[in-house]
Order: sequence, then structure tokens, then C-alpha cells
Amino acid sequence: MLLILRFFTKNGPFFTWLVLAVFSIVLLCQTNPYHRSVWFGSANVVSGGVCSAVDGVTGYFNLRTTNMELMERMAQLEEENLSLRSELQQWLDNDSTSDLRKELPYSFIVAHVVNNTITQSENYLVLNRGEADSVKVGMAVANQRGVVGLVSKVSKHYAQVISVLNPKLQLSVCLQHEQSAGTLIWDGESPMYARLEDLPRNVVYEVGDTVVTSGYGVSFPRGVPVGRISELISSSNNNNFLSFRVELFTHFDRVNDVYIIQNNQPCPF
Amino acid sequence: MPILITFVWIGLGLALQVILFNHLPLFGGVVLSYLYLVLRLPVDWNRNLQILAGFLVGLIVDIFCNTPGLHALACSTTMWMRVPLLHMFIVQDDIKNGCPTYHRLGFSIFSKFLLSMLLLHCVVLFLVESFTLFNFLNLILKIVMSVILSFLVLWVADMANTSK
Repeated sequence: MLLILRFFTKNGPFFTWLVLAVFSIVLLCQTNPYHRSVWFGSANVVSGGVCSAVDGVTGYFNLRTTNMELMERMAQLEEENLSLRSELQQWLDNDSTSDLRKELPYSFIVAHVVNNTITQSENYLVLNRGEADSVKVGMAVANQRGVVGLVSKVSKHYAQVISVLNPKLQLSVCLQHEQSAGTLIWDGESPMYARLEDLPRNVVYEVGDTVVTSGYGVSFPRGVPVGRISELISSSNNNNFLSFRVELFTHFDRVNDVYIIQNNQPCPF
Repeated sequence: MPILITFVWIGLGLALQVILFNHLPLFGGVVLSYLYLVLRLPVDWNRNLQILAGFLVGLIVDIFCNTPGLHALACSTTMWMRVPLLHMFIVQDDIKNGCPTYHRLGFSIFSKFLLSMLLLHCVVLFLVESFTLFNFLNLILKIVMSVILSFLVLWVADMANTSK
């Protein structure tokens, strides 16, 4: 008994390290970002608060470019809105029986990014909207340029978003003019690029084609811009699928304000 | 009182990491300023406490990086190896009290100690992070750049802090 006790006291530091290492590895092995405890993530009350406080200072740095981009986007949407409005008016004049006053399929919640990483091999963002603002796990997140990610965890006032720059997020995307969908995966190399994989060989493409979300998932509506094809990676003969390098539209180093997309249609499953 | 000042300095390194360096990739590497802990924590402390301190600092970085367990594992490993590594370079009696600072150890031993600590930390951190050797060159670049950048930052911090 004394021998065992002496063994433990002599190797004390080793056992302390062993216990802590095992604890760390247990934490590490909870690989699914949806199952992790919110307390060990950056969306908890304390770290969320710290991040918002820091953002209160640094948030002003990019305002000029952000403003410019928003104005451009607004002008574009205004244009679209006007043309759609006139089209709608024509329809209403021709056929007054159709009911067009249905609820819109998607609604938007505007949020501010309080924390964002791009240097890790798995990146997440934190938004200053949470359960109290009716944000739910699985909602899509985009900004004025394109897709940003998917809400993975929600606390009362903060939401954690699993970024496109995270191999654990796989988005269903397609080329703008094609129906067949592929998968968008980040390979961890550059925050400017991701890979589009599993696109059938018969797809007609050109370098520079726009990639958009396919709308086959529950979260994203069809047609949210993702990026443009920058090069073909593989098309070997024994492979029936194409894979591309995609230059992302969203600049993840300056994601300041985003909108969370809420799907109002009931899930069919 | 001195222990309080030590905590303030370690906290400062941690805050810099969370606020600044986590968002600042430089030449493919990351500055690890929270490892200021390695230089500031007194060597004659109970080693179990040293390891625990490393674990806590790592866990705080983890919470902000969304990598639960990763930095905690690397940090506690580094702190576990800290005293044995220091003894490899100098005689035990030389470090009876205080911290392994630049002024106490001299450039050669100081740089050997800090570089090996950083190398150990970065290898554990980035190996566990990637879990594969798939992107081998990228991994090596990340380790080397992070070691060099962190060494420069920690060295300057140590010089500025102890020259008074």
C-alpha cells in the first residue's frame, strides 16, 4: 500500500498530466459540432460578451467598404424588386382570382458577427442574435456577397455558426444554369477557395461560371451565390464526377453583418 | 503580491491571443502569445499546479477558438515537460527561485529553452489539430512559422518586461 502511494507521489506530475490529457482528449473526441456543450464554445455568455466588447471597438474598421457593398446590393435588390413588382401587377390585372398574398417562404434576421476565425482548420463565427431573437439551430447564414454558414448552436443571446471554412459543413450547391447538384467542401488550404465535388460528368461548364446553393437542403433557398469556378481539379476517365476549385464570393476576413435565413415553410419530413 | 503581477501578465498574453493573434495569420503561422505562461510562471511552484495552470490557459484559448480540448492538451503537455526540459540546459540550483527569464539565463540557454518549448507545443498542437500527415508541407510550414513568430514576440515581451 505504502509502495503504491509512494509510486503516485513520486510520479505526481505525470498523473496530473495524464488526467488532464485524458479530459482534453474526451473533449476533443466530441467531433460533432452540434452535440458539443455550449459551455466550451465561443457562444457562451462570458466569451460571447468578451467578443462583443472587442467588436465594439474593431467593428468600426471596415465600415466604409461594408457600406459601399451594402449600397450596391441594395441598388441591385431595388432593381429586382421593381421589375418583379411590375410583373406581379401584370399578373394581377390578368387574373384577379389567384391568391398571391401567401406568407413569404423565407424571412431574414439581421445579425452582427462578434467573433470570427479563418486561421483554424475548423472555423466558426459567433453572432449577436440567439434564442431570444428566434434563431434556431440549422438556419442558413449569408451576407450581401454570398453564403457564410449554418447555425450550429444557440444560446440565449448568441449563436454559433459553422462557417463554410469548416470541413464539417457540406453544402449542396449547383451551377447557376444547371440542375444537377454537387457538394461544397472546404479543404483547409486558403480562406478564399473551397472545392466543389461530386458534380456529374455531363454537366456543361466554363471556368468563371457562378456557383449557387441548390435549395435541396432545408436551410438554404435556391440561388444564394457561393462563388465562381476557378479551375477544374480532376476529371480522370475512371471517375464519373467532376471536382472544381471554387473562388468564394464571401470574404471571410471581413464578414461584419450577416442575415440569418429563416425557412417559414414547414419541413416536409 | 508578485504572484498577482504574474497572473496579470499571463492574463495579458491570453487576452492578446484571443483578441488579436487568433485573427491574424502571418506568413502561414500563428503567434502563440498565451505561451508567455512558460516564461512567467515560477519554476519552483508545485509541478502539479504548473500543469493545471497550463491546462486552464489552454482551455480558455479553446473556448474562444471553438476547439475544445486541443489547446488544453498541448498546453498541459508543454507545462508538464517544462521543468525537465529546463534541467536539460542548466544545473538545478541555478533556478531555485523565479522565472526562466532572458536576463537570468543569458541568450543561449534562454533561446534553447524557449525554442524547444515552442517546438514541443506547436508539434503537439498542429499534429492533433490536423490528425493526419496528409498536408505534410503545410503542417511543417505552420509549425516552423509559428515557432519563429512566437519566439520573437515572447522574447520581446520578456525583454521589455524584465529590463526595468
